[in-house]
Amino acid sequence: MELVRLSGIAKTYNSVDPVSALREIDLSIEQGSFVSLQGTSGSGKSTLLNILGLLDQPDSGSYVFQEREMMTSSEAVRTSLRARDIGFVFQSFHLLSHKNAIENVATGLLYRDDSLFENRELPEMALESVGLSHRKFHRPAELSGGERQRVALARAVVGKPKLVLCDEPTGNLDRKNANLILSLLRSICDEGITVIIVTHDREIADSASDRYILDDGRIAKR
Amino acid sequence: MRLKRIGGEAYLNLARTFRKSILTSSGIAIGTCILIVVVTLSQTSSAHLNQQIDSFNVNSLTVQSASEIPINAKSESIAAHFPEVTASGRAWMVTALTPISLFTSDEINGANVVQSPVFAASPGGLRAIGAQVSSGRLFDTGMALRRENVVILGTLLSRELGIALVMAPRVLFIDGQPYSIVGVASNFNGFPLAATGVIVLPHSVKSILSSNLNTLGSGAQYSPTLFIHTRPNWATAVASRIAFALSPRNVSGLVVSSPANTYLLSHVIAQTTTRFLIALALLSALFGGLVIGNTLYLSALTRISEIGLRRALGAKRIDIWLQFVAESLLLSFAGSVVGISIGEVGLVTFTSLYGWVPVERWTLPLEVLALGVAVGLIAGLIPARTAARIEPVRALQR
Repeated sequence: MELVRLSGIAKTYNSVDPVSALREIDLSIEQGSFVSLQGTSGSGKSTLLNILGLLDQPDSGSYVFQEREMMTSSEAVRTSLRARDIGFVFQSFHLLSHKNAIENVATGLLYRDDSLFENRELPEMALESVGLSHRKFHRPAELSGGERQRVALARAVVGKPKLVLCDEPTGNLDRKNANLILSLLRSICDEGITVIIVTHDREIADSASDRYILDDGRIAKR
Repeated sequence: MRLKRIGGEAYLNLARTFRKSILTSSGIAIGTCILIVVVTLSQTSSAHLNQQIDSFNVNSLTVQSASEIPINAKSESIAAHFPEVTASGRAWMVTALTPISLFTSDEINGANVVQSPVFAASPGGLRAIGAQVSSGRLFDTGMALRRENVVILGTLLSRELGIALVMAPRVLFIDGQPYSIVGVASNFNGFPLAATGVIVLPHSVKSILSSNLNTLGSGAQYSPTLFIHTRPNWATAVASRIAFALSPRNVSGLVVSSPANTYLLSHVIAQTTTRFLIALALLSALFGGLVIGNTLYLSALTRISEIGLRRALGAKRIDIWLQFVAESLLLSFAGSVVGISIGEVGLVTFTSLYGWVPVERWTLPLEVLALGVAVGLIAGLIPARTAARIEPVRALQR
């Protein structure tokens, strides 16, 4: 089943010298697939990820998410979809420093319209799935880089989203922790969640089922 | 449900960043503390002031001539016949600036010469204006009957002349004429100016004026004022009858001070004082609000990354706005409660030191609390708007 379909997506940043970040992007992603995006700095990877995550709007083209056109959807609809169906994992973790691990994971349910936030078991289960139930009351400052990224991963999947977008999730990690994160992403994928990962890491990119390269705003399949 | 969650987030954020929250809310705490202290102190001092003015007004009145009707010894005698009158007599300024020189037996080679106003007062007049002896004695009826050349120094002039105590006989020259100093007096409640000069008996006025004619010219004598002191709360009653008693054919020729007018004056003074202090207090609260607003604004700028994350997790702009507003509300509420509590404790301590009874309406703490929260809320609106407008894509790049 097709989860994401991009057709003719273009995005230009208007400044003194306008920069075309994306040009005529066509992309189709199936539900449950593991997709990697590679490219040099400035090739448009993050822009594409932001558009896929409904954080940014393209200038033209069509973006169909779960069979619904996003180009004409209101901000309220896109925000609601982000809360319910999209999870994010960032290179710099973006954990809230004043919250402990379990509270950070629960933040992933905070803005949903349903009552999942009141379910205390879901964050516990998500933290357990990344092997950190023994560290649930530790704050980010008390966790290692790998542990922080696992907490961020648990936060991304706690609400059982359809799509998890990872922006260089292993960029700040050593090989051992990078592999651990990769295996966790694979297991997420096995549960039917679509994972799109932007990475410079060739090994991680090669392990994806669908591999794409972005170059100067254009996408090509490897 | 969503509001409860966001309120919880705001509380958690403030509770977990406790020191920062304390510092932020201290601004509103200081503001509300000052507000409640100043408002209550102003009410207390106003009440105190009123009490003091009232105590004077209800016991005293003055009569002045607006035409040719003389205020003289006979006027004093008529006023003294009122059963409610406890003291009555004349007092007035004779000259504004006259050379006063002081000689004593061991100061034969020189004199301390000053320019001073000269006042005249009858013995009853001194009592009626509330003069109290600092040293020596006041005028008595015998001195007046014997037409003695005696003077009393006001406290301010006595300091200028270096006379604190009247122990040995001293002679003071007013424009070259000798007078014996019999005392130093203070507390001229009804005629405060008298503290700045020398006071003679009424019979001395003629000779002082005659020696001053060259400099003052004729008609320089100021009008005598009849001061009347009554039993408590009888001043109004005496005021209504005294003009008729003194001048039955020309009542309008006399000006009788009305206690009601002075009551109005005291009311205006108290009201003005209260308004001034409240304005100061509101200014303090405004500064408190500015502190909160500034801190929240800086907080919004330093939390851009967090705001970006929350937007990525599905927070709407209104959610971010609500969280910042909730935080400013919680901070200003906590700050106000602390400020009011400190203010109340400080007030009780301060007023008890002076033996005052605090005057505070029971709704004041609630009003100040509402004002503190309102100031915090208003101060938090701009930072909340700034935070809500932050674009998630840019915020996440931080």
